[in-house]
Amino acid sequence: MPPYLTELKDKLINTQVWRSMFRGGAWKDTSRDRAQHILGNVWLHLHPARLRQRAVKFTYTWGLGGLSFFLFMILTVTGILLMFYYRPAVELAYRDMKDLEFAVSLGLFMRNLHRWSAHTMVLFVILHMVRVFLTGAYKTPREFNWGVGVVLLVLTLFLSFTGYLLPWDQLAIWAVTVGTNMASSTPLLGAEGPFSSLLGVTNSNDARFALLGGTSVGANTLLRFYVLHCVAVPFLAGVLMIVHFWRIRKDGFSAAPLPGEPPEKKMEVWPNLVVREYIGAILMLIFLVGWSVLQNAPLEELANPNVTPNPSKAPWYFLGLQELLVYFDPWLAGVKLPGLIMLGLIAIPYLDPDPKLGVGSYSIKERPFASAVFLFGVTMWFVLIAIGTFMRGPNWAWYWPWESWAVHKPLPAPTWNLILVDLDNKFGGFFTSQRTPGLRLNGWPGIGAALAAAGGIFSAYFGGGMLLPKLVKGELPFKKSLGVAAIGSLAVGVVAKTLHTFLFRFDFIGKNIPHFGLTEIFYIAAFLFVVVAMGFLLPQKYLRASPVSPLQYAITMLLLLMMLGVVLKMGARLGFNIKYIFSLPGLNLNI
Amino acid sequence: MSFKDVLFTRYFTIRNWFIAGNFLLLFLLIAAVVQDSRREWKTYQKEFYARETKRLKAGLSSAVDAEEKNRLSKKLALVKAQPVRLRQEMVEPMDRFDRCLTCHLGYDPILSPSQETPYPDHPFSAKPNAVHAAHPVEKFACSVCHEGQGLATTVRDAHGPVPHWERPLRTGVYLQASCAKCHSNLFDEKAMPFASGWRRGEAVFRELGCIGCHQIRGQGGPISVDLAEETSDKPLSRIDWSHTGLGEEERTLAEWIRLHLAKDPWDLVPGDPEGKFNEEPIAPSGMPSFALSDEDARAVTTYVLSFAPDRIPAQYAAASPARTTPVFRTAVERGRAVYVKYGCAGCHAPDGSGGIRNFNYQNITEPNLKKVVSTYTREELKEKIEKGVAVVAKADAKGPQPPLYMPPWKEKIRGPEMEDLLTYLFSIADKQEEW
Repeated sequence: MPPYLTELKDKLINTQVWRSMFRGGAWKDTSRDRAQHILGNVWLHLHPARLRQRAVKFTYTWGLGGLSFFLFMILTVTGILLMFYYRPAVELAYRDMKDLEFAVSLGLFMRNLHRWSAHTMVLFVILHMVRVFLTGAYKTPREFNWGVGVVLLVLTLFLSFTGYLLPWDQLAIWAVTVGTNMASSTPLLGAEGPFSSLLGVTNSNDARFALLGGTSVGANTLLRFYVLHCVAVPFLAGVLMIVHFWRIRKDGFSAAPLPGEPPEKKMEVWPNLVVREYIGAILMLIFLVGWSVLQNAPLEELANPNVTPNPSKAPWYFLGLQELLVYFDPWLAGVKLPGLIMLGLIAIPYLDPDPKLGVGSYSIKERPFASAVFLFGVTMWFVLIAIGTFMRGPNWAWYWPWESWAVHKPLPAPTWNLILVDLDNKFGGFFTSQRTPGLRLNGWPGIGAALAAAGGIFSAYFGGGMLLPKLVKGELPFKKSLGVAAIGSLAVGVVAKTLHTFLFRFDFIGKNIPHFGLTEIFYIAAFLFVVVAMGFLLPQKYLRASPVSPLQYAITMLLLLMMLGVVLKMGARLGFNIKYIFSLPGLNLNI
Repeated sequence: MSFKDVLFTRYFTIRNWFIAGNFLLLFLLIAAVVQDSRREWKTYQKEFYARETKRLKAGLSSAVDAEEKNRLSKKLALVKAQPVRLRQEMVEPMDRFDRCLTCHLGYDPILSPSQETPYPDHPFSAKPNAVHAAHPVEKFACSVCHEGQGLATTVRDAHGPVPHWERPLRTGVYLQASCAKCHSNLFDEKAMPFASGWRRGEAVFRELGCIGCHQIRGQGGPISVDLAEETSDKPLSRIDWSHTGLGEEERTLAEWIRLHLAKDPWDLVPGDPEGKFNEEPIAPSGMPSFALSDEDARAVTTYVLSFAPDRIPAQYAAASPARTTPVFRTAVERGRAVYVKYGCAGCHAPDGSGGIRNFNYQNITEPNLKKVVSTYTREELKEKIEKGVAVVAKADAKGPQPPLYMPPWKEKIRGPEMEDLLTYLFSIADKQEEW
């Protein structure tokens, strides 16, 4: 710098005004001052002054957590700006959206930025969770922080969901209708869930009513969601973020120390980490601003409760659950499975047997069981979302992405149930459907037989599934076992086909499974192989020998078997039109 | 050093990322601001001011009269003082906030009180017009009659058709449909000279007997939809466009209605006669193929559209004297009026010769009254009309139920009306030969 500028700068820094605002006077480029940049700054002092060298590498964290927070801040700022123009009343909301687009300077840009940031944030928090898992950064002492993170994920999804309603267009009202209707299927607390009659919940006082402020999505819902979206949930998320960031610091910050290694060399946070965070933020902003300039957020017709679009789709992060509705009743697909997923995620650190193995770096190969199961779950989640987004058209029929939705599709094939218990007409049924009564056993013995069969199937699956890996003591050769499993599954498929040809003349087989060709053999072979490989071979190889406690083992296998149960049920529905494994219509209980 | 090393130590360094990132972000933010400030309407406004300034200046230099000079210079000062801004007419009682004046400055009450400009091209043109004179912009805004998206400020969004806005601009004869929102005397040629298209539509509607199958606000035949309650304001997402041959931009309600009249409804609504996509076979549309001329089709469309509901406060309803019903002298004339009133022509043709098709009907077309009536006695015919034919015989038993049937008229046509109708029918019947 030229000398007169340096002189000016020194003079400025030593004025009373400057010294009163920025404590510390002139900075020198020393180690002490670099540390002081961090420790003496209220915004930055959550960072440590020094950090392990591994942590600074971009490909370690990909900046996902920091960028999630940055996106939250972009959303807060754009959200506040939008709040100057938007009014959460049904007569005004849609008009305000149009005003933002046409009459407000930078209104459309702010709206676009807000919406695209929201989608990006949901994606990034999920990716952040995957990264933390794969680097084992949830292990002791970070288990609780992982749980806080899971709750933050749910809050992010809920923020996005409540915000989705605010434009008050057809997309908004019906996506929220689909999402909130799942709440009415909550067991006990939902008017249409199992056991609803026990507590006397009706449409006007169940969980869904509490969420909507009414019996349908209307003015109360709009106001309620607005308050949740702008005040309540951001406040809650803020509180949890404070805890989350605090724990990150206290538990040792990024790149947890590798076990058994000598203490690592550390580098200074200023400028190394701070400049990388800045660049990450800039790149994210470039991406979002570019996207907002090039593409407008959607706005459909004014919300009309009398006209339901066909199909009505939930926002993309809930489309996975909506697709699951094809295979499960709402209380399972919309309440129990998401709840179990959330609890299962929180439980992961406590199920992890080895608090030291695989922590602090990408250790996918070191932790094959954990990585395989987790990534399988994440992949399934995104596959379901992809199916719901691209392959489902009017009437939720299967439309390949290149097929026009204007073309009508024939009616779906009729479905059938494996086991039915009818308490009103007092019989237990097998292979029942609209087309054929199936095998019926009347009276209480019949009901007993059906219940016993159902109990048998579920206990065989879960109990057997849990015991089998433990029973086979030796070390099975993995690749060879996979081959055996593949051939075995194929063999089962072929055997099933031969059985079918013999039993075809019976109505309960012939009418319910009219065709059994290569597709059906493929379904059996593929799905059985996946379940055997993931549910038996993988645990047998890794869980049997690992130092898990019996409780940890049981819970892990239970969760794994439930996830694979979803896969099996999908195959049963897609391949053989089985609707329910067990159905008890009197209690609204269908699995 | 390897290529990767070179890349990261010479080009993709932290410093370069920092500098490039900052500049790129700055550029994009400026791009966003520029994109936002470049609006279509600003171009039109500036053009209008330029033209007006030029015209007034020319007028001033050629003016002779001091009074005219004064007037023109005042107007020129007004135009020069105008900022380039959004213009909005707010009519709170009707919940309309129209921004049309932003481009159509010729109709701005302050800039152009005469509501007239000499320019031939839109949006600068403004022609004087009795309807505009009777409906000042400050009280009515624009979109209550012209429809379109009043809140929009681009040509495409404001005029349409644009996806997700169901009421595009009403042009040509369709504009007359809006008069019915406040005026219920469109039939009156003297009071409402500009509604001639609507009147033509109503006349064709009555002549073809549409009311025999359709209803208007609950009054009419039971066979098809209520045109006023359902069709006039049908949500576009409920329409199956796959057989209309219309492109995305042309899919409007007016087109849907017009195609029913101009093209063959069997092509538009083919149903599912073989039951390929439904549990049971579904017949195609029961509507006859009128194949009206373009002018007639648009006129009838205007008539149907005129029933679309809108939020108009009571104070806007215009006083309209009731319609007088004509008085006929002979029973045959009265009977003809009954025939038209209940829309018998919809199935039996305006002159009673029938021949209207009915899908999968055993006799293919509806009865020719001229031939059929003479085979009945008066009492038998009265009973037939009163009872109707609820289930008509199918040509193909496996096919769908024919969509058209004869409703029972017992509750609707009674006493003198029934007698007159019978007299009329017997008057048009072919005379049976004497044996």
